[in-house]
Formats: sequence, structure tokens, C-alpha cells
Amino acid sequence: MSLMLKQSLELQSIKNIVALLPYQYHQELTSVLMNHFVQEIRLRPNQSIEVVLAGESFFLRNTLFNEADATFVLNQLSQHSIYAFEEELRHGFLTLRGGHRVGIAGEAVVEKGVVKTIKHIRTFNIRISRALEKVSVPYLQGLYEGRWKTSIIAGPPQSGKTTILRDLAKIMSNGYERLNIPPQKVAIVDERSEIAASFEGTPQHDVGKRTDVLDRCPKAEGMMMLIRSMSPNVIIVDEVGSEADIRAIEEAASAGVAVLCSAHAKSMNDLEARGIISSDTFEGILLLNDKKEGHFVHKKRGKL
Amino acid sequence: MRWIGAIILLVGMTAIGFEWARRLSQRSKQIRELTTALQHFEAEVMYGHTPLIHVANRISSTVSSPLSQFFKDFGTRLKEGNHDVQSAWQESIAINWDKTAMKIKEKEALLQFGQTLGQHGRYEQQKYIQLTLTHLRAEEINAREEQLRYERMAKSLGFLGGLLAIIVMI
Repeated sequence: MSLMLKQSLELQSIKNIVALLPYQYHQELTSVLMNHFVQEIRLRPNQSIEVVLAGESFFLRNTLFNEADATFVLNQLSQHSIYAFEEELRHGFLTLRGGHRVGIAGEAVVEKGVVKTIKHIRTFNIRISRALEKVSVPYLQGLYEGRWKTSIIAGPPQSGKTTILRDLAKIMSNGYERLNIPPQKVAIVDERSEIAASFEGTPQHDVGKRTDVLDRCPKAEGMMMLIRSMSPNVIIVDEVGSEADIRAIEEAASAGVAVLCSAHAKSMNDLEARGIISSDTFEGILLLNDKKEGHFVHKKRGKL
Repeated sequence: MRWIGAIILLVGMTAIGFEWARRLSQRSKQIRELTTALQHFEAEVMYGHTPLIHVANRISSTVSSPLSQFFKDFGTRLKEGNHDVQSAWQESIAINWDKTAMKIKEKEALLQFGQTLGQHGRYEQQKYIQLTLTHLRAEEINAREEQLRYERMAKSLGFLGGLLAIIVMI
């Protein structure tokens, strides 16, 4: 945590975030962002603006977020062009320059049981992102033994899976001399745009010098595309779960490419029940808990 | 002295006739350019997913004046950030309309188009573009007919009108 608190936001980053909101909130928000470790800014119709810090939250006094404000925010987010962000609206979030993400909610338009888009968007959750350094170092000895092992990073939401994946990407592609880990070519399939948080194709987080990112691509297809196009040594994917994903990972592994992926899971049993670790491809599992602590389990040696 | 006045009158009336003819041909030319611009727009929306500001700037560099100025103004207003799309669009039209040779119907079609801009998904946006294009094409046919019918007449009418005025006055 002490490591996180040191990371303050850059001024430019603050400006970008504040510019999303109507002018009358600029001054107050800027000072809040500069003086607190803000994790989220939440905007809800006819409510005050809520600022969420680590473990606590408060409302900005004398603010009332109305419908006109919501329209303003949406226009700023979409650069006045809803048509350009249809896909993002359907998924319920947009990525900003700087890697921050804005979750949205409103009225879903459903057609044949599938969410087509969201209209009357009134609720926003601006999630401030900060890159954390070296969070994966404690687990490197498990994940790397002369080569990167195909492994799963599992844990509940908010346990730091994506943060660890992002840090691993950087360590893999830059190398880590202290443990004699040489730099390698890394490819990321970033379906939810969460690992590298690309904005118009450019990663907004530092994911390393030798890293190629395929943004917003479905995982199974993306892995195959990257193997063919980028000849990576390691592939990183987020939130695998479907059978097609597992099959693609198996295929990648048989092509000699190590795959590191994350999965939502509370426990080992959870992973087993979903058939993820029954696959022989995985060599290890890094299990995280909601306090962001983890331990590494070797699959072939350790008994599961 | 009298002859000098007569010549000035003749030249003036001829010039007016030519200007009228030029406006007739400019109108159909500008409508054509506008249709091309909207098709460009459509491509940017459908395949490029390009935000409005970029679309406006791109189009402004491909069309000629005064339309280029219109798209440029529109882009600048959006970038400044204190306009919504509709008011930026309306203002840009208001400033630049007098410089064009187009008529009220084209203006109406464009203003209506501005109301839909950026508020919809891709396919809806495409429908509005198509609708505007249909309007404009109909107007273009009108404009071309008018041009065929009146362009030469306008030129000779100016000259002949000048002559007539001179005869009457002398």
C-alpha cells in the first residue's frame, strides 16, 4: 500500500480527467485529485459527486449531477460521436488517454436477448488507474524456471490479477537481471482493454519494450493471430474461461509459446469445477486472495 | 461624357448577368461537392469509426472553399469544447452560408442533418446521412436544370438589359 500511495497522478492526467466534467466542478475536483489518493469518481443522476478513496468515500459538497451534466460528460467521452463508440458502449466502458477507464450505465437496449447498446446514459464511474511496479516480483521464482511456465493467475475480483499480468508483461519483455531472466518477445491479447489500456491503438500503460498488443480482440482468435503474426515467446491474456479459450491456450502451448492468463476464481475447487485446471497444459497456478496476497502452486509436482 | 456613362452601365449590367450565371453553375457544383463530402462522412462513420472533429478536419481539407471553411469552423468549434454539436453545426452554417451559392432548401436539409449528428449509433447515423443525401441529390437535379435553362440566358440578359437601359436613357 505504501508503494501505491507514493504514486501521485501527473498534472496532465488530472487535467484529462477533470475535462470530462462540466466547468463548474473543475476547481474542486482538481484539488481533490491532487490531495487525495482517489480510486474512483462516481457520477449518478441527481446525486452529489462521490469520490472513492482506498477504503472510504465522500461526496463533494454543493454539487448536484443533473441530466445536462450527464449529456456533457457523454459528449466529452465520445468526442461528440456516439457512432464511433458503439462497441465500447455495448461493453459498458470506455478507455481514456492515460489508461483510466469510465464505466457507464443507463438504459440498455436489448434486441433478441443481446444488449445492443446503452441509451440515456446517466451514471458514470471514472476509475483512476495507476501503474504499480514490481508487484509480481515475489512470484517470479514460481513462474519462471529457465523459461516462462504456462500458468494461471486466479483470484476474486480486485485481488490484483490484471495488475500482476501487466507487471509481468513488463518484466518479461524488459528482462529482470536480478533473477537472470532474459528479455523476451511478449504479445498481449487485450480483449477488455484492461492490461495495456490502449487508446486508439497505443498502450497507455507501460507494458515493456518488446511487447505487442492486440487490443479488443476475442481471446481465442487473438492468440492464434498473434502466434502467426508476431512470433511471441510469451502470450498474455486476461480472464480466460470458455472452452475455446482453453483450447487456444493448449494450441499455443503446443506451438512452444508460454501463455500466462488470469481467471476469476475464489479457490482451487472453483477452477477445477470450471474445468480450467483439468487441462494438462497449465504448469502452475498463482492463487491470489482478496488481500492481494498470493501463493504459487506447481501443478505437476504439487498435488492439487 | 454620356458615352462613358453608357459604357459603364453596359459593363455593369453584363457583369451582373455573368454573376447570376456563375451563381447558377456554382450552386449545382457546390451541391455536388457537398454530396461527395457527405459520402466521405459516411465512410468515416461506418468504416473508420472516426470522431466528428477528425471527420470535419479531414473533409475540410478535401473540399474547396467555401465548404472547406464551413467544415473547418465546425471542427474548430467542437474542439473548443464549449459548444454542443448542434450549435456548432448551426453557427458554422450561419457564418458561411452567404458565401455559398446554395439555396434555402439545401440549408434546411443540412440543418436537419445537424440535429442528428453524433447522437446515434453507426447504422442510425448512416440512415440520416442517406436521407440528407437523397434531399441534396434531388436539389442537385433542380439546380442543374435551372443552370441549363437559365445560364446562357442570364449572360445575354445582362448584356441586353444594359443595352436596353442605354437606349431608354439616350
